Amino acid sequence: MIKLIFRQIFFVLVSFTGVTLISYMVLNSADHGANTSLSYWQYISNIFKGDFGTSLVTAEPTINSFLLHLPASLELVLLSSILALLVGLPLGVIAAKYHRTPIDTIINNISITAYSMPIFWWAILLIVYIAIEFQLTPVAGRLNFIYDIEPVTGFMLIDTFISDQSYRMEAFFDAINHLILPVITLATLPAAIICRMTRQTMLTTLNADYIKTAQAKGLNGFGIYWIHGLRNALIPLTNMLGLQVSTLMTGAILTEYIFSWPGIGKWLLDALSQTDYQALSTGILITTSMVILINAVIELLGFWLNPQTKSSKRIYHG
Amino acid sequence: MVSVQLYSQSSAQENSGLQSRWAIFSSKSSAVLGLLILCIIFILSLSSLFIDSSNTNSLSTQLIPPSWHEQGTSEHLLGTDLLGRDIFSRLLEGAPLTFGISLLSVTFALLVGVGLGLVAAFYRKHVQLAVMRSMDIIFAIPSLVLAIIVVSILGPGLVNAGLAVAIVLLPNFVRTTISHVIEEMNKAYVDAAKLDGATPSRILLKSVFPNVAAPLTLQTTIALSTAIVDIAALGFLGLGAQAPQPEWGAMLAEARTSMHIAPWVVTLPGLAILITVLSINFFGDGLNRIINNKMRH
Amino acid sequence: MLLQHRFATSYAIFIALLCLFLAGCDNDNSNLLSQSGLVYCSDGAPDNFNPQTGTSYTNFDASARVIFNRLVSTNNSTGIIEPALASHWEMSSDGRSYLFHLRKDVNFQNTQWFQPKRLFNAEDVVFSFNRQKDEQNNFHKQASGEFNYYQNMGLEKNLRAILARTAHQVEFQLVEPDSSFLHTLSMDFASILSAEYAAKIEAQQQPLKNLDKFPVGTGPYKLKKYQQNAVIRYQAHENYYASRVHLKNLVYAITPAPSLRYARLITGECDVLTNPPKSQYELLSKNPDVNIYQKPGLNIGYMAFNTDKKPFDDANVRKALSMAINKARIIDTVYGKLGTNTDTPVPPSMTPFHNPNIKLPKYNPEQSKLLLSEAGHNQLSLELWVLPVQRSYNPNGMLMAELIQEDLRKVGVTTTIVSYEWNTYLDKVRAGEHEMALLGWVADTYDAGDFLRSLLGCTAIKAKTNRSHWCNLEFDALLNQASLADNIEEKIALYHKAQELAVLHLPILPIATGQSVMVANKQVQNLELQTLGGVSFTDVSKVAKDD
Repeated sequence: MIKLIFRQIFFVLVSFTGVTLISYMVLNSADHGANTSLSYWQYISNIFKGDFGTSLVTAEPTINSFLLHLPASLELVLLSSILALLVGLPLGVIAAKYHRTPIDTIINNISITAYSMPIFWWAILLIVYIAIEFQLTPVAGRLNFIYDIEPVTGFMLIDTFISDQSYRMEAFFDAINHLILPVITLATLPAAIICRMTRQTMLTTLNADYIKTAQAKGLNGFGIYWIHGLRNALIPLTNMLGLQVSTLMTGAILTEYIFSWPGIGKWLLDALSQTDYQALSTGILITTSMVILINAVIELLGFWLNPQTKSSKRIYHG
Repeated sequence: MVSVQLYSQSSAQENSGLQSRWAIFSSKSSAVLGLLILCIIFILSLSSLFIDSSNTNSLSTQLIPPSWHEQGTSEHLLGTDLLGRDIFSRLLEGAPLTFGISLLSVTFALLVGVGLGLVAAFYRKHVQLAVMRSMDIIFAIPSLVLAIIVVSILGPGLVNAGLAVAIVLLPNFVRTTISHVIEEMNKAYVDAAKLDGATPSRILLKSVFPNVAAPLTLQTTIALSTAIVDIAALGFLGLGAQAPQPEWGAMLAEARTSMHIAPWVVTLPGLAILITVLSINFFGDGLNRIINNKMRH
Repeated sequence: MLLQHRFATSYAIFIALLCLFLAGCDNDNSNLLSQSGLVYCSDGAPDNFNPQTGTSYTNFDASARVIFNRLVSTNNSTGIIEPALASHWEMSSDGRSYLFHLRKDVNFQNTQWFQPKRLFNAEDVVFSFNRQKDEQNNFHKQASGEFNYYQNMGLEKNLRAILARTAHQVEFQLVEPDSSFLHTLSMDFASILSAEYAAKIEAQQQPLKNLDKFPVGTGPYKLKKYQQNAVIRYQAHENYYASRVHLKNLVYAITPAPSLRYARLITGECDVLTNPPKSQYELLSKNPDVNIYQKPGLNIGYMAFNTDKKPFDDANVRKALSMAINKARIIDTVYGKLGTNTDTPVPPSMTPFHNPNIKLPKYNPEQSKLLLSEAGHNQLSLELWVLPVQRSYNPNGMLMAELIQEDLRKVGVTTTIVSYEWNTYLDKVRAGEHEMALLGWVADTYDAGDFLRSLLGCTAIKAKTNRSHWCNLEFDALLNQASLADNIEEKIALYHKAQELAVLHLPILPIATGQSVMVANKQVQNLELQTLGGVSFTDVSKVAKDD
């Protein structure tokens, strides 16, 4: 196991080096080369000192802008992941349980449609029909502009709750209102994938010998489905979570763009349209490094939970 | 002697195999439907490449609803957009852009990916490690971030978007190739064939390839659906196809300005993308069943 | 079996409660909160809050109109100069000296970054103008001397000195008399900053840019907080000298996408927006919850040819390209009821200076092709730059660009459409990177001279507002003569002649004049459309929703 950890750390470091090369290339691709006189070595040593460069557009250190926008994305991604689990898991289990019945077919078709849906179109549909047509939710943003909430943590749900303004509860519910459409948008694809994966693995595990043994032992239906089946279905699921991070980030960028959500996705796209290469390179460096790190950790977890898993299983939807 | 029998046995199975495969595939009507729609889109894309477009932008034809709407006309089947352009013809024109470039992208990724994978599988150790690690890095970068990298270095455009998407798809092909080739190479019958005196290329062609072809085919369908959505997404963000190209994603971006008064302008291109991707996925589902079925035997 | 059912039921109950919980959430704001604040959906983010360096309404709307005042102001309906920070003034007989008497009761804003210890006085006026005039001034150097309007309005050449005669009297000494000097002082760049604040910044060795980043002025609202590219929050200035400010809070919700601004208006997240595109305008006019305010604007939407780049240095090419463009179609498609054609760079609403007798070369694609090949260009490939924001002078730049692109294609010219984020766009255009660019200009005063000088004058090239980089000495001479003219008839004749020259050489193609439109929900009261463009919320208030 220790050997595995060291191998993983080594691979992560190599990946980081690759990413820094890429972000350095982006930094230097500005066509007015007047700004970058940094050598690659200087660039790296600056990063170790915590200096990620200063944006020529905002005149602020890029790392500050990045950290400012991070909590919004985290809030969105966390809530979407939770929703995806809350919806995907049960649906997958139900589909497996009612295999070869219309229920299974319906759930299967819904999940295929859900993951074939281009996320940016889904978001627009939701906005046009739910927000504009029926005015059930706001159209975009995190909070109605009239509320002035101090960004203590950067998480709107927390910040409104702990705010000392008289309208804090109102603002709290308003924040929830603003979260509804973006979270639904971002959660749809992962929910579909989780549903399919759960269904698939539950079907295979339910046929496994040890289940039949358990049945023979006399355990009732509840025990079979929920305890044994689900627990074993969770193993390949955690493997899946790793590559979901990448998909979630792509989805988050698009969702933030359409809902004007001030997270790092929108920040990256703004940097691109303003040709702010300093911000771009910082954003690319950090987001990619985060994904690499998270993937490595999840892979280690996967090894720990089930030593039989091969790393070459990551061939599914990317 | 045993090995020769194995060879002949497999070739005898092949003829009845195709029929049985079709039986499995067509048992699910959705798979057949998917295949049908895909063929239609492919044919439409090809034909629209040869048809010359002449947009008639007369003022009076702005924002006409689709023909089934009370204010629609039969002249414009799916209505017109803000500039008075017929949506149906634009969708047709956009098909080779969205679908075509995605196909090219996937083909490129497939060829380069399989090539790289083969090189890595045969040359072992350091080469393999280098290839796998660089693929891991590329795989770790979220597809949109990778596209942003490519666009910030090369500039926006449909072709650059296609290139970016090809890079995104590469790791999967490489990995699939490497793992399956190695797996196959380790199997008993390959050793038997080696003992028999078969050359590496013969092993490759006769035994390894057919077994890798299946997961690769599946991989390709998944890649195609990913490619279409990604290319449309880049067109939507303005990083890929640029206005006024009728690429479906770019059409969606343009349609946003009038979405509150003309929902069809924003619904139809998205629907086109959805139908295309759905048919690929249903088709892939059918393929999956064939493979699963084969694997069980 | 039982356990399984129990689990499923509790899960279902949990989901149901969640839905009820969310549905029960009140969608409307409490009346009290929304009454005390106004949310304006603005279309761009200012780079700082200094009106001296700004040139676009994105900047002025966020700074000059909100945070600052000037010595004098222009009456919105009559255009006549009125007192503001100056209560009265005298001009010397030779017209070369103006003495302003300042008000003695004006307070600067109390903010988190500065608490004024004294009232407004002459020191502040002197500082505000010296910053732009004196190259040795630290704040002048900090801004890299980029005071566009100060240079463009001729003050750089013409302001000889500015002196504080007493604590409340300031004298401006000019080199030459300028009949529009008072109008110049009413413009946004002439806003008055706090000298005390500037001194404090230097004494405490704060970064000098704080003067522009954390502004202090005398205006009706003070800056509370700015989230870059997202929100600007202002609070009422409790001691505003001119009137009692009704709105406790003023919020600019920065929303670059026009469809989002529209959506925010109709769902109530924004109270006001400006210059909607034609399709939205038509819907909004039928909407019972909003009021539409509109006026013909003193503005012009145009296409600039960068005469520094080939082939735009050839007047025949410019003429040919202009003849290829179907202006009538553009005006009908892009502006609809929101714009009128103009054949000269002076808007038709700027009577009597607008020359109604001039006509642009007629739309004639055949002739255009001929001219182009005569000039030696058969397969031109050009770039057309498009502005990304909505303006009264151009409600839908992208649409216009696509129409032009198609027109040019018919004469064998391939056009690539290029666009950037607004501030980036302006920077690049100012740096002269464009070939053809869609731009616009809103009049700062009723004086056609200022208008023409900013757009096409030689000095305006350095000031970066002359985006065609065209310099014609005869044209400049006509403008100078006009500014020195004694009577109005002479002025009119000279401006008419200047316009003839401009249309002969066509460094820019004038397209249309747009209506200024402001849309606000019915709760908003006392909203005044600014004739000279931009927004102002000084006397605005809100009433409760009545349902």
